Amino acid sequence: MQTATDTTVGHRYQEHTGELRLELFAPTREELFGEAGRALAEIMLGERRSASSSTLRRVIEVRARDRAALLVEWLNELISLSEITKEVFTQFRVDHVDDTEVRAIVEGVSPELLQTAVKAATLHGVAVEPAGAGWRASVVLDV
Amino acid sequence: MSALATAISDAVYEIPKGAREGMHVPARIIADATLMAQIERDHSIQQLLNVTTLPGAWGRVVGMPDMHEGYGFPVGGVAATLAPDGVISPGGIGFDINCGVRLLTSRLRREQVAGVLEEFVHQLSRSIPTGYGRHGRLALSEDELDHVLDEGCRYVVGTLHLGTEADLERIESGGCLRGADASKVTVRAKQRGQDQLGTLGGGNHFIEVQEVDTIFDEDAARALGLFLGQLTVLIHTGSRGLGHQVCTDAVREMDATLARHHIELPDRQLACAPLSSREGQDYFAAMCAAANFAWANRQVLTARVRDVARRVLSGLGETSLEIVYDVAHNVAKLETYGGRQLCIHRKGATRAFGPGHPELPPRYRAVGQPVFIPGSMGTFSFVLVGAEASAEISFASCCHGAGRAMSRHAAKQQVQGRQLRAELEAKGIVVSCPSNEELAEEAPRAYKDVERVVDVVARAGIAKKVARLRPWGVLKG
Repeated sequence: MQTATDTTVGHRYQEHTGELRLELFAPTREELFGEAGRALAEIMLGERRSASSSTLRRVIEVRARDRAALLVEWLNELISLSEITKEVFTQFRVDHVDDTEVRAIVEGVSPELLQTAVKAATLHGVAVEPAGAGWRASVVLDV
Repeated sequence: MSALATAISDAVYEIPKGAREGMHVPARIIADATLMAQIERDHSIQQLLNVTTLPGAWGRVVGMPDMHEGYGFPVGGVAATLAPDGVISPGGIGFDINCGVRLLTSRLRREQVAGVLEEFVHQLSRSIPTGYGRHGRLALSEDELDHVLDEGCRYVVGTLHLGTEADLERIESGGCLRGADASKVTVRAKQRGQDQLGTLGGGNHFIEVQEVDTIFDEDAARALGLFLGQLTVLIHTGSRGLGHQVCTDAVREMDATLARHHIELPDRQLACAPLSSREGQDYFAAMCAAANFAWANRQVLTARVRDVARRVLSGLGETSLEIVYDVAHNVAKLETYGGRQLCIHRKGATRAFGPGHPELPPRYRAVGQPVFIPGSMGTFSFVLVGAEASAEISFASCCHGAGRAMSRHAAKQQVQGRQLRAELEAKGIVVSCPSNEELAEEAPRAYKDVERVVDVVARAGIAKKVARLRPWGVLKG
């Protein structure tokens, strides 16, 4: 867990009775989306995060209506691809993010089991906003 | 928020239609003062009131005593919209479409199997894949998957020969919603589900080996085939990744078409479309297909449990396992109330038809629809039957569990998984769960008191208590 400042990259969990609310912060949108992917991997892998070896590199391109929906689409793409390929994506090179499109190259691991099943990212209270010199986001995941 | 709610009986609170701007209908919460105080700790009531603003909302929205904060809809909520032009909202069903519960009964007593209980749970854990992303033994071709989506349990029984015709009448809707259309399920959703039939999944899903330890209503218990000391098995799972993707796809599409349908929402995850619109019809057909997949999943799991029972329990007596009933608690269905066809959204709520309802199988028509309320891990579960007043009070809906009272994060901070495992084992409960951390997330103290929840729905007149089930073995998803 880290303290949010304009220049740090990090995430933290906020209280939510049934699901999981994730808060993200980073100096750039590219780093913000990379951090969202790393946070998702941390949730999915839990104590098994060191397990198994690196998988193939994959190119991911996602489009959405607006910048808040784009974060949800990005996470949902990672969640569904992860389930189909039995991989958890842990390394992210996010090349481009604007209000409606993200392009990235991802790489991951193939764990034997997962810590937490993440069903989907939701639009409930989702926000992606400039914060000082950086960016901040909040999103609820159905777990 | 409590200032808005007025107790209208010792088990029902009501929030009138004018309490907040935009409400089309009042809200009703089935709770006593203790449960109401727990419900008020998070944003459940605010979320319930948001649901009252959906276009076409009809009658009232209802919060169950196990209600807690969700995303868009609260978990433990029931909403009716007037067909054909009222909306259908995928968030009002949830990502795990037709997550539900199925109860199996044996002819054996728990004491007869005590010596092999550990082996029984161990063999269940070897036969049934648990955890997220794990694949089952049934890898379906595209054509076979389409049949499962269109035909549900009928295909699993008739073509895959997993189960019998007698099973089908003991499943809500016969294990097949006729509105299903596999062609409305995206390729991505099918990819997620292709190897998941016969898997339990993760989170709060489980298979529990239990004993009927208390009977509250002898006649109803007899009608359901329950007797004291009886060995039972409860299966709790849903439509796995396929259902999750159906919801994801529909929320995206409906979020994009809100303006075209002139819909404004207080929460974007309430994304919806008129049931009569193309988006509404496509989602309904895909949701029905995902519900069929979930029933098929529980049918395949039942076959696996029956196989294990035959292997492990043979020599101890009759090893057959009969389905008592199988109920969904995340689904939307078209039902008729007061001569009007309504789209009933149940999100973390169980259908609970009272006696005499024509949709019930003949064997349960006099007693009412069986309803199963699982407790948290290591605590009692309950069997109820729907009561006549449920139609008027809650659109024939009941609670679906104990209901979370504490976040997973808080549970892990307060409960040591290793200690919980030791406590369960000290009670004689065999636990199969690969991770202590996951165990801690589902700790009993993270949930409300299931006995209080069940007492409240009984007092409200929604359902009647029939029996209590004591856990002896848990396979956690």
